[in-house]
Amino acid sequence: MTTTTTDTAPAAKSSKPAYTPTPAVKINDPLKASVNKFNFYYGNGFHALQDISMPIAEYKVTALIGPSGCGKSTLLRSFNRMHDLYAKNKYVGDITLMPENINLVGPELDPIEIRMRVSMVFQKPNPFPKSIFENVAFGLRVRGESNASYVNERVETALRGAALWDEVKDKLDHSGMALSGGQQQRLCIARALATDPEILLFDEPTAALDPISTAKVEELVIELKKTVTIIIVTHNMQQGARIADYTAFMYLGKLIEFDETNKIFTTPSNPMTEQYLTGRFG
Amino acid sequence: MTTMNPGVAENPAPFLDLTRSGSSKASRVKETIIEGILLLAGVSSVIITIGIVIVLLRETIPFFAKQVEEIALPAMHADGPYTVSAIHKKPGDTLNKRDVLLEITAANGEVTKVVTHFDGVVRNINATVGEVIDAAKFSTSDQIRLLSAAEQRETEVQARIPLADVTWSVGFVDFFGDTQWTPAFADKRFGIWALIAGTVVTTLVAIFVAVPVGTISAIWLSEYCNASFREIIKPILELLSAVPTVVYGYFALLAITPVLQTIGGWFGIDVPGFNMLSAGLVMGVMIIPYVASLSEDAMRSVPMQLREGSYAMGATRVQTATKVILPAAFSGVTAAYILGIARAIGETMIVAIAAGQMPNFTANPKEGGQTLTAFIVGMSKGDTPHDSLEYRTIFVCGLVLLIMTLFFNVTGYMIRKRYREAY
Amino acid sequence: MADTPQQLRKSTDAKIASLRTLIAKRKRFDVMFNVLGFGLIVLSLSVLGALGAKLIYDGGGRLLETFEITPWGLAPGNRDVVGDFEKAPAQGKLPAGYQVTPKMMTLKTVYGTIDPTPLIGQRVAVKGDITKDGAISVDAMRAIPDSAPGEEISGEPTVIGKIKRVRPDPKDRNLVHADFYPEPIRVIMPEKNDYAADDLVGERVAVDPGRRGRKAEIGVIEAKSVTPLKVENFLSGMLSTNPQESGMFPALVGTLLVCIVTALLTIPMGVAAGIYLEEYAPKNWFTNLIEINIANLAGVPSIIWGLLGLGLFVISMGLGESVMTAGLTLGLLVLPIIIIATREAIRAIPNTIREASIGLGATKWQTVRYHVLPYSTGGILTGAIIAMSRAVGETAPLVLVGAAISINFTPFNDPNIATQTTLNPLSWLNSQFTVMPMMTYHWVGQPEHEFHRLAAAGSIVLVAFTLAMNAVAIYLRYRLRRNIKW
Repeated sequence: MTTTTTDTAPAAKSSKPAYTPTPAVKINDPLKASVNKFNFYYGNGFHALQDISMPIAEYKVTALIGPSGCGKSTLLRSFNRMHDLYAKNKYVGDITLMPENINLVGPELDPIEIRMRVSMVFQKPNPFPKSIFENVAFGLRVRGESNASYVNERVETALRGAALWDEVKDKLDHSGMALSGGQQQRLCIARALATDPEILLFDEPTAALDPISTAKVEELVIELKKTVTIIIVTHNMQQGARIADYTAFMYLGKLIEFDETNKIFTTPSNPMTEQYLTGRFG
Repeated sequence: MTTMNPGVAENPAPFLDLTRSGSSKASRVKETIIEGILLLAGVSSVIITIGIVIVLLRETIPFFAKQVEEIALPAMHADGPYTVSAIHKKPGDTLNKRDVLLEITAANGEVTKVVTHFDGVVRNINATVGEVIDAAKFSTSDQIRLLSAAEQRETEVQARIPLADVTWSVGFVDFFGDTQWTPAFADKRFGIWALIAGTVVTTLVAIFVAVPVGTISAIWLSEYCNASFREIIKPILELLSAVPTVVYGYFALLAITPVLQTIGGWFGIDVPGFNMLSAGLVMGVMIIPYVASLSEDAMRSVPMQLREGSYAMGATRVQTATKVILPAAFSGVTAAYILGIARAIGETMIVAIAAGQMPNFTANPKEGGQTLTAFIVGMSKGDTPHDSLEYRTIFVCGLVLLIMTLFFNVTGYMIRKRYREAY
Repeated sequence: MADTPQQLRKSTDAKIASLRTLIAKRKRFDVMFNVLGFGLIVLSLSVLGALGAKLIYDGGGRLLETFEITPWGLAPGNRDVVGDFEKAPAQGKLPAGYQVTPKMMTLKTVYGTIDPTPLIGQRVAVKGDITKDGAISVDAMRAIPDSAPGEEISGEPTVIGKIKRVRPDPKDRNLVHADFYPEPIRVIMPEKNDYAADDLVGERVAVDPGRRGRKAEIGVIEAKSVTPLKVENFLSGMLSTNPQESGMFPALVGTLLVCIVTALLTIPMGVAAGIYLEEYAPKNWFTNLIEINIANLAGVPSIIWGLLGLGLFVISMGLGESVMTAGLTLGLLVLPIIIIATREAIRAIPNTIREASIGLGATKWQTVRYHVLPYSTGGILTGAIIAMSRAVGETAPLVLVGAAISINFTPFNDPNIATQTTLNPLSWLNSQFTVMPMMTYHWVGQPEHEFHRLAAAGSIVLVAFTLAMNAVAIYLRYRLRRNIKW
């Protein structure tokens, strides 16, 4: 059940000697969240994240990059407590959510509350086997929203926000699963947007998409950061460079370097980041 | 294998014993024989199916064919001397239901009208006007016919004095256009709806129990229960359908019915000792595992991504289960329901024991009734002669039952197959 | 969406507060559903518990208690037969020409002083002993009105008690006097008794005064016979129409024999069919048809199989209402279960194993014989056990193929085929039979409570059989899943 992939890590290890993480830089933007000495253990005892500390700036895009198995998806999924779905997973440390300074991963906090505030878009588009309209309205329905005109308005806003409105406005009652892959992914984004989340998590949202759909989703992400804080896991460094304001490079469960995207991609301070970015491993 | 053997034969290596190629030929023959035997076993299911259809049709076709019925002096009159006082029909005349065939007068002047209970044609009349019938002279062994009451194993000997032969047939209108089912009575009626009503009512009661309980149990097992507990609880739940149905019949008749009668008593409702409600309720419990197990399989085969998508939106487990998992597993769950229905339609012992043996065209589960299956069992318990119309009715009912269950089974199978391909 | 970041942040607190009340409500519902789901499962299982409790309450005592069988009579405990008395043509070796329905009770014409002729056509009550050839030697017989079927017809009632001690008759050396307990009477034993007087001391016995029995003096019975009471329990006793004295031994034996026939027929055939479909069958429309067909056969109601058995085996093939017919019918019924189980077990074996075997030069059959079959044995066995547990509990098909309800013999000593028994070790296949579910069905349909106790006791045995078999199957499946990791 665990999504961890450790298979590629040993290969990377052999090509790379010991490494020392560079502490995350301080940033000037207002914070939406901050990760402090965060550790994560899977149910099988695997220590997937080790002492991660980094800030998340509000209304910015933060990209998590790194080779497969580095823990970037694990970190992302911690933000809305997806790990709670599987038994025996364990969080240690804290992820503080601003402005009220609560610990996202604290046991006293209801994961459902977190997920209502922190939405997620998955790697593979996963629309529900329902109509397009009901897909987008799902979050509202989950919140018990019964005012039809309000729901209609939110669905339209969300679909416009996800740049999908023009394509589907005439077939809102068609099944969401009948759309193309790119449209499905934008539908999932609309679904996440409809409930007005504070943070939007993207887990390699373009991994399963063709280049044209990818471009559309990227444009969308840049557009969305005006209203929502975004954290995105990406496998594609260029994508990170194109859309992220801040970038975190992770390796083997540790945060190697966190800085402004420009800085990371032009003058990384950790030699390992440089090696990864220049394609020498990963 | 066949590609290897020529290679062996061509190989000139001296250590190769020639007899080995001979033995491999023998083994090839053996292989073919074995394959033939296995093929036969594999095809056996088709032969069995054809066998079922042939056996059922072999009795169903004569059931609807023209038959000769002997009109006899009613058994209760078989004592004293009677005089045939009037004959109203002659051979070749058509008869309608309740037509008077002839009249007989007893010594005390009492007139009995001999009427027919079906539409037919008079074949021949074995009596003449003025003829005196003395029952005593007919009471030799070759004139004795055994009549059996389906309820009792006891056989009564009664004299029947033939008066006329009439040809008639059970028409499709009699079969599908009537709501009375009385094949063992003098006034034979073959309205299959009376039995279908019993089957439908008991099945509906069972489904009313099994669908909600089965579905909610399936959701709980698939979405709430942890894997190790599921490993334990699922086989235990499946034991519910392993209990012999005759035992469930006992339970329905002697435990559930008294409880229903007590509860009915509180509300002033009189619940009879045989009722379709208790049979249906217990049958429902019996098919819970079918519904729960198949539904749970369908729910668990819904991909994890959909669950994650729903939870990521802040949905609770109920919301995920009812709004995402259930619609996604819809076809599989439907198949589970349909297979459960088929199981309920075909169930025999519970209804035969607890619902009674009186065909009853009603939609009220509180009443007693007879299902297709219960009729077959009840009828075959008696000593029905193997070439009689009564005997054929059980095969006819079997055919109707087979068609009903086949419809549900094939539908369920197709739906299941489709959802298996979907994920 | 068009709000400025600052406005949004201000509204956050209010939003969270409303979220929390909402979530609390949802979570309550979630917990309620959790409880409901688990509760329903527990409720379903509690039906199983209630069923067990009801059965044990009704039949547990009957299952365990022993009962005495009065050692004479037509069937055990059924000394008084009521039926229509008729004249019948003399048949076979029977010396007599009278019958009482049901037909199996032919009367011998040893009537003593009674002339039976005036009773022809009347309902009569008969008292007598059943002889080995199925006839009754009559003790007493008389016409009765219909309304009094159970009326006692013997002149002197049988006395049941314990022999305290015996001593020889002072005058007649052939007679023995016995002191009787609890009744303070003395029994003068007959000259020819099947049991030696000394052996009867301390035994509970039945003293039959017979018609010639008379009280020689006050407190003395001159007995026709003195016989020790046979003590049986539910499992060992023969069937009887007297519920007090009925066991289910013939049904137990019948069930076992029918199951053996079923297993021998269906397991080889089902496994062969499964192997063919998984290993040999080409993927074409015909195989597809067989597949749909098997799935549907598995869903055919059991009573249809009964009709097939009746039409095919009983009538067309003339096998009659025999153990063979029952075994064949149930064999066909469970065949789909075994085929499906075999296929699933075989399908779980990875192709690499087959490739390895074929690659070493094994033929297809050798691969099946030495690899596929051994590795799938566990799965096949599980399926076979489940199938047999189904066969044990089936009732409806056996009603149709004529499981008897009133036989007091096992298939090994069926009087109708008794002469063949020594010559043909398989003669039991042609015997009449009954099975446990059939007797349970029969008993539950009787109005008297004592029969319901019997039905409950029978149900306990049935449930114990099927649950034990299922438990073994579950355990096997569990172990298989543990041990085999391809």
